[in-house]
Amino acid sequence: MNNEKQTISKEEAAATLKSVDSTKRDAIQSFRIPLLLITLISLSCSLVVFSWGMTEHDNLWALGMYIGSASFGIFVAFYLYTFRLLGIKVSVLARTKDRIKSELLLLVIFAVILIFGRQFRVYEGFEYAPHIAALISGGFMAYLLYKYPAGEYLQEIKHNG
Amino acid sequence: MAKATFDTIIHAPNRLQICALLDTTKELEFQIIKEQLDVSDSVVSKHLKVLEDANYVRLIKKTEFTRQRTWVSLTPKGRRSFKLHLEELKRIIGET
Repeated sequence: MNNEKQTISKEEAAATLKSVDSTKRDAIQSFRIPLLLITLISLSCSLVVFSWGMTEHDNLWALGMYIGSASFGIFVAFYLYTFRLLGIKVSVLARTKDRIKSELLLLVIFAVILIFGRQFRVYEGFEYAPHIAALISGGFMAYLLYKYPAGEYLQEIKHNG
Repeated sequence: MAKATFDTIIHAPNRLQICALLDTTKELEFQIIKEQLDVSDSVVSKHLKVLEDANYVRLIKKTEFTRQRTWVSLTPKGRRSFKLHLEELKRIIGET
């Protein structure tokens, strides 16, 4: 029954695609993480990047890394738990090939920011590299959490038919 | 690669919306689906039953904090069928 031949008009197909797109957009917007939690998660991320950039044998910035990592984990767990209580189980692991690709790309971007923040300070002597790296990573994390809370990129449907 | 196919089970407006909602998450509670669709319990149940019979969705009833909750998720088959249905719609409008 489900695969039976069926024809619908171009207009009807376009309207259906638009309604699917708008349903997904509405859902993703209503699943958006509260701004306070976005801020806390982003700050934790920044703290890890900054601490890694500043860590030396004779200072305590390594502690910032541990605190940042722990608070990042706690805030993410809190976000997943509160959403679960609300009746939404967020998919943490990528399911589709596109999402796997985009998550790997994001992982590489964050790794590059983390490494360059430290390398520029230690080897190039640019003292503000960790500050800039922390700012970029925190801002980027906040943007991603705000814009793509479900981890899904939705392409705008441009067809007007 | 699987061929894009028009799926009459999924194409019904409410069922299409249910699949679209479930596609954005891992699992959703019955009440959330009802609120998002703005329809009655019985309407949601009816459509979920059709999708469940086609093995497109999985319903799991759990008691959490003394409250009965029904979690709904798309099965791999349902996720694939929904994707192929959307591809077919895009083919019809000439996007792919």
